[in-house]
Amino acid sequence: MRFSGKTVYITEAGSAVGEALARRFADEGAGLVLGDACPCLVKELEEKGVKVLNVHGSPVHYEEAEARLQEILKAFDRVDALVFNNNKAIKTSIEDLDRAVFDEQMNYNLKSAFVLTRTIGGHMATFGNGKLVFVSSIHDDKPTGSTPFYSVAKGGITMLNKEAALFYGRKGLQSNVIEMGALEGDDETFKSEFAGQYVYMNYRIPRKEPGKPEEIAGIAAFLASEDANFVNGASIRADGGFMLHYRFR
Amino acid sequence: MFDLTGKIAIVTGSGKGIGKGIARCLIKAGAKVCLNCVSNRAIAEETLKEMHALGGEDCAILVQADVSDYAQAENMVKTTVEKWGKLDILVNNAALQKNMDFDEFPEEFYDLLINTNLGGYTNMMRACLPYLKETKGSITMISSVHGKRPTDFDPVYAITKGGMHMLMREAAIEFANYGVRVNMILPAGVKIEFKSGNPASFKGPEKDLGIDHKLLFTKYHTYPLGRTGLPDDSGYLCVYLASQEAEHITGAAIRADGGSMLK
Repeated sequence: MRFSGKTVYITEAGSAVGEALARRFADEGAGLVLGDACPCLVKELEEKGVKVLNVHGSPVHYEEAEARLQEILKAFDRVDALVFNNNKAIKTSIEDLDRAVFDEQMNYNLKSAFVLTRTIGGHMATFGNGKLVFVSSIHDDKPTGSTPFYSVAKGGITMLNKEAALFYGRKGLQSNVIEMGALEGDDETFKSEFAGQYVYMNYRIPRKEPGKPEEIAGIAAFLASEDANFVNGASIRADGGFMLHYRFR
Repeated sequence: MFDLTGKIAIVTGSGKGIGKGIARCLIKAGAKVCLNCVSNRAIAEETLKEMHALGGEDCAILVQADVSDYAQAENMVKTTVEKWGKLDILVNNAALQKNMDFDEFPEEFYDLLINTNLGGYTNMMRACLPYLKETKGSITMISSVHGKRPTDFDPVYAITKGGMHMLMREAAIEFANYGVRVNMILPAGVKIEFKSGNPASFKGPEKDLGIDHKLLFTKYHTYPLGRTGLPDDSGYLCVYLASQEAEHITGAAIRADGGSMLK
């Protein structure tokens, strides 16, 4: 039980990946702070004896992040790992961009990561250890042609991770990224009129099956564990080989 | 080769620094350039005079505009098109850095950097696109090696540059439909007359680490080619990327860093 006695804060715990993360960390003994989890998941975990604090909204301002930390510290002694899992992609074009979409994508997917890194990272630094895990996307490198400001936010996450790996790395933390890709439904999420990446998605994955949320959760659990103490500032691509594809066989 | 005669360009943040070097190179290649500054009007007026001396009275205009505000960005584009009748080249260059660590970075500066470095680049692309479609023009973004390599002194600057990499790629694939190319130049340190940001906050080591800095900066030079970057290093690359000869180049990120990323 790698996370016995430890507390893991998972954002966007209401998504399929978020739920898989929550179950995986719970199975390994962690207490959980869950961002916007389904009450049904909270009930399921509590019935297994897992201590859960369900919190609402993803902080995008410094004072909101600080308030979130204080809220957590009323229920738990400390946070041992932040698993930043905000992944909402909004379809738009750059040409016809509505500024509100820019703000929404950049705040939820990127600024929230920055403010939580500062606050939760700073909190963990006072103990001299802790983990930052960003569940990001292959679209920190590959354009979608459908959700440009999701990609821009993910490009920002890549650099946030590297900066945090240095700044908080000197304070005993490790920070890493999972570049998640080609999960069930991604071909609809990222469907583009001109970018062909998701056409026949499954055929572009050598095993011909999309990723499962549980497979992402396993990598996050590794990165948040002491097994990953020497992994810092890395981006681990978890896409089954999807990004390597260029011919159909 | 690489002739920009008759081409019309906008270079944001060109009152000084890298943008000024880019404007100079574009004008030398025959283009007419709309210079842009946000605050240092007096310095930009001097730059305008230098450009006029270089390429004649009709080679450059100056528009003061804050690109983080779409209305101002759009107004600059309209002014340029009213003056010269079309637009071929956008060089997105106006960006900010603050040089502060995570724990001292004020939230208002986070927002400022996102709104300028990413919002401003987006505003300018959107405002220029209708005209660039007509000329099958090009967009070149000035980013930084810090879109790949962390700064270790300004996390938000690096975040914006990482985001800019993806903004360039998304724009490149979207605008390819219109024959508009989008590329990126990544300088490292560039020697310029006026530094923006907050030089005072560049901190030396907090304690004596026993490091021989002279050794690091001479024998193990930060720039393998032996010198710091100059504005023209990006400027000449801008000329190429905007030229007919670069018609098959889009979505490219080219380092102009003296080899610093090799280290």
